[in-house]
Amino acid sequence: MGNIARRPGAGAALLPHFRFTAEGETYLYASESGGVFRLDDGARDALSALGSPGAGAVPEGILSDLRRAGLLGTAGGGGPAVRTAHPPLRLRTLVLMLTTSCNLACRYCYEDREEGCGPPGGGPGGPGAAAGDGAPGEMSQEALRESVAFLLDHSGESRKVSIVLFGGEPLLRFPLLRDAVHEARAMAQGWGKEISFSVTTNGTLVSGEIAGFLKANGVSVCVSIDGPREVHDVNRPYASGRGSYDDVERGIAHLMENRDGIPLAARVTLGRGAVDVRKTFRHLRGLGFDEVGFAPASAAEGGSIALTEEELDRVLGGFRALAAEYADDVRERRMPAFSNMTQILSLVHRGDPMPYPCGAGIGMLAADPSGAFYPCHRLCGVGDSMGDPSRGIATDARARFLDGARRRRESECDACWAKNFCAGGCYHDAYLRQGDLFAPSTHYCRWIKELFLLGLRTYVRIQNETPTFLEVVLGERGTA
Amino acid sequence: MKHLKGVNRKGKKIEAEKEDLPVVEAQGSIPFMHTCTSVFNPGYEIDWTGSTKQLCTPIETDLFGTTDMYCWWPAQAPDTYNNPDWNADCTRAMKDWMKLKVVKPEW
Repeated sequence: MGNIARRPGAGAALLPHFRFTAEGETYLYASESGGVFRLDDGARDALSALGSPGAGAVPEGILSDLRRAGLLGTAGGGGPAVRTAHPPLRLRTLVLMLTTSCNLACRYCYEDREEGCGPPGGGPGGPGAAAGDGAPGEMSQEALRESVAFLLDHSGESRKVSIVLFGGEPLLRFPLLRDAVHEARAMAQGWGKEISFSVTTNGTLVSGEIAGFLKANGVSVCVSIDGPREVHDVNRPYASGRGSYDDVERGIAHLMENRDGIPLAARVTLGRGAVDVRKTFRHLRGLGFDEVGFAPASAAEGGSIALTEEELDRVLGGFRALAAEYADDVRERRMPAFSNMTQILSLVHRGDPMPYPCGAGIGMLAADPSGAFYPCHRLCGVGDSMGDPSRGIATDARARFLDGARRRRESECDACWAKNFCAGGCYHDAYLRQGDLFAPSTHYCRWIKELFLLGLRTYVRIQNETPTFLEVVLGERGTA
Repeated sequence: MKHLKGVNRKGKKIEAEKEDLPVVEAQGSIPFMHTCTSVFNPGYEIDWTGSTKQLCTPIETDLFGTTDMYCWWPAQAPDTYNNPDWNADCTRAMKDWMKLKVVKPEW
């Protein structure tokens, strides 16, 4: 920041970047500008020379190009102390925690329940099995209405807002969910806004009636499912220990019968002993899912569910195979389904700076069952609340949260070439692993960099083969 | 650019810029600019001649420093999270800062 002298040669430092080969050529990702460039031999040699002490002079023409690309400058010009302003809250997405109850007892679940995961009264439960309004851990109709009004009121001039119906298992509160969709849509009309809904469910409670409702109301559905029965049931049993796969499969069948143009997404949690991503991907595509995304389970370091280093490598191996199939699909004009790759390619394509890892506390908030706001659904009950609909946003708590996020990105991560992809990683994951929301997720550094290298290489391949895909499909995707 | 070829959207934008404009060098000898408070830091305005030559060290390069993580003077520029395209036509502020879009507060 400030007073950056960009003199060729003397005093100029190489700024964070990453050099890689793809499709037989040498490429460069410049972290400061977000640009991806193909290098000629001269630039490649110059970059090597600049990176080694006592190297000879580099031709001015190449220096000039590197400077323009954002490779040369004086690093560390600005002091974090003077960076005080945060992006304003411009709500686009509100996650509603309809209930903290769940009818499953997933081994990796981060919900902290004193009495296990089962709905009150025990048993697998059905729609409405959870306690209703006013019970602890259950959202009341009133809290829901106030939260939706808050979203509409704080979304600025954005015409589009979205509500994520979450839990626990949100379909345990299907009557509330149904009312929420009807009521929020009516309220949005009054505000002159377009509202969209999505629900993340374990799939076990989806009946024909529920699937019909979701279709009729254009609610997009994301099903948490970990793969074929033998994989899924490892980590997603009922409290009794019985596997949930058969019930999930039945629910998915109802969703497939009622699909209506809205992509159906599967979200796979990778826990220890369940890391065969290719097999899982094929299985879920076979069930009819349009998108499949994977995420390692968040777990305390050394816990029984955290992936081992070897398993993380196996996951990467699977991702490499899926990335190759992704590019094949693009070339053949089929819509690719590996959603992790779509997200990474979108980041590469735009090349925008990413000061925060996600929209938590910026464009997104979560309302817990009492209506209290938190930065995201995973952080409900962790740290300070960011306010509630009646008191409004707790600006101090929000500032502390964003300060922490920024400090992380500007200190430990500042010199990392992958900072615009990762921005330090998931706050919640850091909290579980390290007890600190703002500790950088260094346990994933190596893995994340390998993953983004895969993204960069896949990007180059698609750019060579099917460049229109990148502009038409990825160019329209929003930022983080 | 002869030695680097832009591949992604940002890289192509940088590559597409004209090269005949001079690179603004540091003007570190202007004492006023080193003593002022941030209130008087000139941001990306122009000087009395209509150019930027007499402003603080290549001040146009500071423009992007007033967004997001570097936002020590937030009134200068919108945050890029909510206004991702405010600088869509301005990939290198030193050259094309006049193409910046004006973003008005929504409240």
